[in-house]
Amino acid sequence: MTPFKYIIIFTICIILCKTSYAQSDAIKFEVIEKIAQTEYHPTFSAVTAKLLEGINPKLAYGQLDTLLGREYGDMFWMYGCAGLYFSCKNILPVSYKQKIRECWKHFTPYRGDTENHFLMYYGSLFLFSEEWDSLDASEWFMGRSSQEINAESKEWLLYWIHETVRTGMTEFDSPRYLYYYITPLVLLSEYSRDSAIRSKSEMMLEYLLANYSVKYLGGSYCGAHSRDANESTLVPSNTEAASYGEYFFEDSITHILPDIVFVAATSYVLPEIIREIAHKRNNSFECTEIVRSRRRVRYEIPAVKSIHKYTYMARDYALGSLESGIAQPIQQRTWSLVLRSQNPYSVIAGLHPYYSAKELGTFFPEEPSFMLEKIEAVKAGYTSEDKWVGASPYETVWQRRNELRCSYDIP
Amino acid sequence: MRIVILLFVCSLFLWASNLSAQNHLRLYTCALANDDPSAFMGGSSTGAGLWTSDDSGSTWKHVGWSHVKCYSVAVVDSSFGRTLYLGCGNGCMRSTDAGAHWRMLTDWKVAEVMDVAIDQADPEKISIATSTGMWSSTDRGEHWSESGPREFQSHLYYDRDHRVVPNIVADVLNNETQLVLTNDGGLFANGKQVVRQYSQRGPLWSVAYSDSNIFISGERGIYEYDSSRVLHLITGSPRNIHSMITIGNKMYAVSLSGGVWVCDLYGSKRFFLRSGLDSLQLWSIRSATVK
Repeated sequence: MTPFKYIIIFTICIILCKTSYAQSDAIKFEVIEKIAQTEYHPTFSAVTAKLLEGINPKLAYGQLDTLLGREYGDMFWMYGCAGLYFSCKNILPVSYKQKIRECWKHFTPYRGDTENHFLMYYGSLFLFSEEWDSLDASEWFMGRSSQEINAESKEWLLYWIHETVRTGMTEFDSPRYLYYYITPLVLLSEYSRDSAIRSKSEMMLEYLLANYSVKYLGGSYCGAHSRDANESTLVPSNTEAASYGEYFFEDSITHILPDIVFVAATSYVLPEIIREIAHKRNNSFECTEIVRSRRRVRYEIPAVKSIHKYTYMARDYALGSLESGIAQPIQQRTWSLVLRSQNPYSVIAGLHPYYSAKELGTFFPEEPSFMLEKIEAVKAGYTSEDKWVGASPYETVWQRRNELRCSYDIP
Repeated sequence: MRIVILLFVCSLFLWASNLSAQNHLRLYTCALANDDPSAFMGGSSTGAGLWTSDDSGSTWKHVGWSHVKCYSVAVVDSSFGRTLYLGCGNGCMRSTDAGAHWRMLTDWKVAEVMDVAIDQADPEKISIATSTGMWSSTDRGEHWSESGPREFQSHLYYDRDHRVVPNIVADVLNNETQLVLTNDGGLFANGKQVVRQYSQRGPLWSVAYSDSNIFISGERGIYEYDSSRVLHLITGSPRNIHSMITIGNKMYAVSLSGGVWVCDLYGSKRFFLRSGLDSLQLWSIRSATVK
C-alpha cells in the first residue's frame, strides 16, 4: 500500500471518528430524532421535534392544537411556544402562525417571581415583539404595543445580564432551573434581530455553561445549590441540567429531555475550551464565587445579600458549600460531597430540616402565617422532617479545601 | 281619571325600576388560588383574578385576566364602575370599560402590587404599595415614580387631606374614637396602642365600621371594638379575614382560607353566612355604584 493510500485511509478514519463528537450535526440529528420518536404528553418541544423530523405530523399538529386550544397560565407556556415558533418558522403553516398570534393576544400568562421566570417571560416577549413589530396595544394581551413590549423586554434583559455578571445570579448553580435559563438564551442568541441582544445572550449562555463546567464531575452538578430537589439531591446525575451537561460536554447523550430540541435545532456550538474545563480534573482546584440571595421582602436588610460560595474540585470528588444562612427559601442545598462513581447515589449531604412562617414571609409577599398553613399544597415536603433540601438559620458552615465543618445550634 | 292615575303609577314604577337598573351596587373581590400544585406560592392557577357581583354576593362573575395573582382593586368613583385599577403580581393594571379590556401600566421594575389607591378628588393620582416599596403616578398610571422607602408595603390610602399614607391600613373616626391600624398589625386608639401583631390575636389586616360599631379583622376572624377598648371576637368559622366592608347594615368579609362571608349587623347577634367563591384565597373586597 502506498503512503498516499495510508493517508487517505487515515483521513477517512478521522472523519468517521469525528462525525458524532459533542454537538456535531450527527449528535444534533440524533437528539432531535430521539425526541421526535418518543411519546410525550403534548409539549411544544416534542411537537417541534416531530415537525422538524417529519415524524407523525398529524399527531404533532393535533398536540399543537391542544397546546394552543386552552389558556395555559404562565411563562413556561410562553417560552415553549416561542421555541416552537422560531425553530419551525420555515415549515409552520400560516394558519398555525395565525393561531399562535391569536394566543398572544388573548392568553394572559403569569410573569412569575424569579429570575428564570422573568427570563422566559421577557425573552419570549422580546422575540415575538420583534416578529410582530408593528402591532398596536389592542393586539397584545397586556394592552401594550409591540414597541412598548420590545423596549421593556430589552431593558429587563440588559439589566439582568448586567446585574448577573457584576454581582452573580440569585438562582445560582441550580441542577433543576439551569434548564429554564438555557432555552430562552439559545432562542435569543439564534433568532433575535437585535445584534446586541443576540451577542449578549450568547455570552450569557456561555457564562452559565462555563460556570456549570467548573462544577461538573462525571455528569453531576456539584457543590452548593440555590434550588435543588429531594430527588436530585440523592441522584445528582439525574437532573434537568444533567441533560444539557451530556449534550454540551460529552460525546454521546443518553439522558435526553425534550427541551434539548430547541438547542439542537440551532447553529449554536459551545466553545471547546468550556468543554475542556468540564473534564480537566487532573489537578484539584478551588472555586470561589460571590452570588446573590433571593430578594428578601420582609424582616431582612439589605433586600439582596451577597453570598460567598466555595467549591473544592478533585479528580474523583467535589466538596462545596455556601456561607451560613438562608439565601433561597425552601430548596437550598447548603453543602454536599459528590463522588465520581457508577453508583447513582454517590452523594453525602446534610441539613437541619427547618421550616417557618418567617422563612416564607422573608421571601414571598403573601401573608406569612397563612402561607405556612397552605405550603404543603404548593411545595410538598417543606414541613417534613425527612426532607433533603432547605436551609436553616441555625446552621453554621466552614470550609477550607476538602475539609468542611457544619455545626447546628438548634434552640 | 283612574286611567291617568294608573298611567302615572306605571310610569313612576318604570322610572324607579329603570333608575335601579341604571345605578346599582357592584361588589369586587380579588383572588389568588394557591391550592393548585402548579401555582407558585399563590401564583397562576385558574380562578385567580378579579370577581364581581351585581346581586349582593349571591352570584359572582370572573372579569378580565385569568392566571394572575390579584391582591387589590380600586374603582374611580366618578366613573360609575368603568375605570378600575388592579394590584397584581404582574404589576398594576387599568381598565376603562368595566373590566372588558386591560392595560398593564407598570413595567418590570414593579411587581407584587399589594394595594392600589386612588385620590378620588383627583383620579389622575394613583398610588401603589408593593413588596419593594411605594410608587405614585399623576397621570392615571402611565408614568410612575418611587414615592417611599424601599421596603415591603402591604397597604396605603389617601387620607382626608388627599395625601397618600403608607404603612397604614386605614383610620376610622367613629364616636370620637380615632382608630388606626398599621400594616404590621399595630392597632392604635386615639393615639394609644391597643394591640400588636404576633400578640395572642395574631396579625390584624383590616378595619370597617358601621353607624355604631367598629370592626377589625385578622388571622382569627373579626373582632368588634367596644367603648372600653376591648376587642371581642365575633366570628366562629370564618378565619383569616383579610378584608371587609360594611354597606348599610350588612358586612361583607373575604377570607384567605376561602370565600365571601356576609353578616347582618342588626341587633347584637352576629351570624356569618357563606356567599360564594369558597375555593379561592380572597384578599380584598370593595364596592362601587355602577351604571
